[in-house]
Amino acid sequence: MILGVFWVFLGYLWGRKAKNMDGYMLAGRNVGLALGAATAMATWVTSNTTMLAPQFALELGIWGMLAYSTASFGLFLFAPLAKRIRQLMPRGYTSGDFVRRRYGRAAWAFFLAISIFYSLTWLISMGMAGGILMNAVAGIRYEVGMSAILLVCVLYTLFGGLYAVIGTDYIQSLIILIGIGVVGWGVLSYASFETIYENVTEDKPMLLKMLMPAALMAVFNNMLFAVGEIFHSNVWWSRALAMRDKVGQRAYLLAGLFWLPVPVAAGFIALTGGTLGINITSPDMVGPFVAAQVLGRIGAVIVFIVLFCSLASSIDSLLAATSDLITEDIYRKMIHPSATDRGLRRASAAIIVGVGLFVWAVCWPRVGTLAEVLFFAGPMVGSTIWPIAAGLFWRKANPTGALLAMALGTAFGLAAYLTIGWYAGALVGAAVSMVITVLSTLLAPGDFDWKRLDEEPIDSTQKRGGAFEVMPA
Amino acid sequence: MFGAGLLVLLFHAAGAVSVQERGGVPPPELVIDSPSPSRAGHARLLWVPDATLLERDDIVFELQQATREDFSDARALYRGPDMASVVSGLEDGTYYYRVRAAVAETDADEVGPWSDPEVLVVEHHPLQLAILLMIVGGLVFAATVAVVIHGVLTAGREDVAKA
Repeated sequence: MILGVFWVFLGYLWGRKAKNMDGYMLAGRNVGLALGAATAMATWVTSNTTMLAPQFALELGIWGMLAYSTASFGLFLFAPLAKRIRQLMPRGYTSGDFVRRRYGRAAWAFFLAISIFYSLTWLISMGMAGGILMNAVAGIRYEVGMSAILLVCVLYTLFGGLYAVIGTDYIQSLIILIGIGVVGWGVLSYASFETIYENVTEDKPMLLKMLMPAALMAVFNNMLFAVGEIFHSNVWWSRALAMRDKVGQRAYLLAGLFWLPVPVAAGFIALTGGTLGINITSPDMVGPFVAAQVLGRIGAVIVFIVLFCSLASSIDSLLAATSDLITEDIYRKMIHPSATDRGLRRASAAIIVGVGLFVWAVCWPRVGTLAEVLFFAGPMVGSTIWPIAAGLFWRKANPTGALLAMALGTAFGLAAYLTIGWYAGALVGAAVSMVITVLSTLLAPGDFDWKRLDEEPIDSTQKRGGAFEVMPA
Repeated sequence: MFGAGLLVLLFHAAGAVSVQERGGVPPPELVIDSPSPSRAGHARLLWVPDATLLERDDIVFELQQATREDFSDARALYRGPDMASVVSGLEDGTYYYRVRAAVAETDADEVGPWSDPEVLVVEHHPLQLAILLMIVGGLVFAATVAVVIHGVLTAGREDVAKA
């Protein structure tokens, strides 16, 4: 409760800096290197990092742990994209803006569907994780804990917009790094590497095998899933657009470096459970459970704070970015093109509350495990990698190719997800999308003018035209 | 009378008398809460105790795993109050599980009978499929890196040309 009240207070405090939509949605486009790197790192440390990474290690072993850490490549690869996005769209707002102007209406609609679906599934997985965490570590009923964390995040995001999100992310990133370090050190003081190795070799031999099939499949699947998440999601585009000129590339590189050891440390904790005689009752709780058991009451508190911060840092980012996407791409572009700054701010607030309520309603019955919920979106986000990358760097990439790449990548990826498993969906989606993007560019090359991506900012004094107005050449 | 007593003795010997009447604890119902065959060597085992045991806090459960149907090579996986356990890292093969309840910190007479065994079959994905997907994933990733690097260099040359 203290943490929740503190974040809401910070949200209110920082929210007063937002004087217009640029301030509310993009923190004035003036975020520096330290805050930029911290917000990227903290946003990427989700409950999945602290709960799913240990589950990967428990179920897929050493390769599973390393597979999870490959998600840092999403941040590394996005670094040059962040620079490119800022160059091409210095006044842009969302990833949807880019797709609309680059590829036109049909691809934009499909992309929006993917992006909103992904954002909602990620939010739902965070909401569920919050409830599970509160129940396992503090004994609070799932429904109460889930509701509380969603309420806190909705409130401070509502009050403060991206200023509050980034500011709280900075504090949360420090807490996460310190907390993970303390827990890792604590666990190692109870069990040495040698005893852990002997125990795993005897009880769970496949976890140490270099040729464990499911784990091998998970390596590139997880990497491509992460690349797709970051390349397409407005969570990362909004940050790239919010950072000062020339800051984005360095910020994302630093964020990737700081993030890389976190899932390795979290995964390692899961492998010590057998050595310490701890019975694991649910695979998605192995990390927090082992940490709390080993370190006692203090460990439980540390785990609770770290997990709360990792959840809050991601839920707030998702709420803000999803609200921006829906406000800008659907409300302003399709429903009310002549909306003023104030009207957009009200719409944005209503959307944050609406999304929060929807997620809360879906989280309530607690269906599925965290991995099942999130990885279902893998084929879709994997299919967006090549349309986005080619769209930013290749003049010749064409709209039809982009749409087909996303549609067929999604279809084949989902087929792989259902027939082979969750550890193949994103990989197949990305591969099919790549082939179609390359072939369509070779067979029907376009000639895009990059200047068309630079759009006027939202200005309360100007009336807007239609949703698909073309920029002058 | 002698005949009736003999009948009761025979009935006991046949094991037809319920566990409760013998003073033991009824067996839980064991369920494997994961698909079988398992393609990654892990599963979640759940057991539901008899309704008469739910209110008691002195009950512990013992879970065993074996690779033979008769449990001749059984080993204990867990003993404690939890009602679930995750197994992982299993190699290809067939695994048998059973669980029983016992009253904690008492002698063996208070240990209940084993539950009906559950069978978990582990069949990992073919290695050829895994390696094929790994190669495909590696190619896609390498190509993605290449397009980003090439794009950055090309964009850099365009900026120089404009300047």
